[in-house]
Amino acid sequence: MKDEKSGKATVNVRPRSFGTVRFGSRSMPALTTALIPGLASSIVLGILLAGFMPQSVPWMVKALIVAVILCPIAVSLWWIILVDPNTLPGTNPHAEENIESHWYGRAEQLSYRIFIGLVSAGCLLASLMGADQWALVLVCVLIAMLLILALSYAFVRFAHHE
Amino acid sequence: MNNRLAKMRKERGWSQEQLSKKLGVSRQTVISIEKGHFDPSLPLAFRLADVFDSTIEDIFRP
Repeated sequence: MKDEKSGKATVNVRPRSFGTVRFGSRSMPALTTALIPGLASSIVLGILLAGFMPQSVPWMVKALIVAVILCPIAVSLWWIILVDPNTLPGTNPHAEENIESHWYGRAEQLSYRIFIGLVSAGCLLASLMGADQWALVLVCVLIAMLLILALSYAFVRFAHHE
Repeated sequence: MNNRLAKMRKERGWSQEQLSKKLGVSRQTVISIEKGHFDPSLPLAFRLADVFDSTIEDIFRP
């Protein structure tokens, strides 16, 4: 069918509840497509992790238990990788321009500042109470947070540098 | 930023939901822009002007 505004031919894709894949044929349902790599990943992980389980249980049973537990997670992760977000019902083509994205960004900034404050206060409290190990751990957490902020700033700064 | 968005939208008989779909953003975004609580990004401002067949300066007033 032809798009009225542009005159270009378009393909009608049946809407899917869980979207369609972003690669290749875009009419393939993303969740069904994610089943195969998801199952394969959970089986491989089951085999690899079976060695960490008690020896009293047969190896095949251990692998199967781990595979069954990990299967929903593996399928979900593959779905996230494969799905084209624009094909999910209820999504906006320009979600990054929504006020909700702006609110989320501001919430992230605020939560980081609150966390820095809490860690600093906890460090002070631990020092005053003589809990030196806790104070040391919290100081390390604080330094790590500040280092991550500096690195993130440098990354953003130089990523936009032309 | 002050704007004439709500007035222009009502003149065309569009609901906030309809305008949000034309712009590809959420209805809450349209509400917040109309109330002056949120300034749109430049691409969104240009799309607004395009949808209303107007200019950005005609829609938004500093």
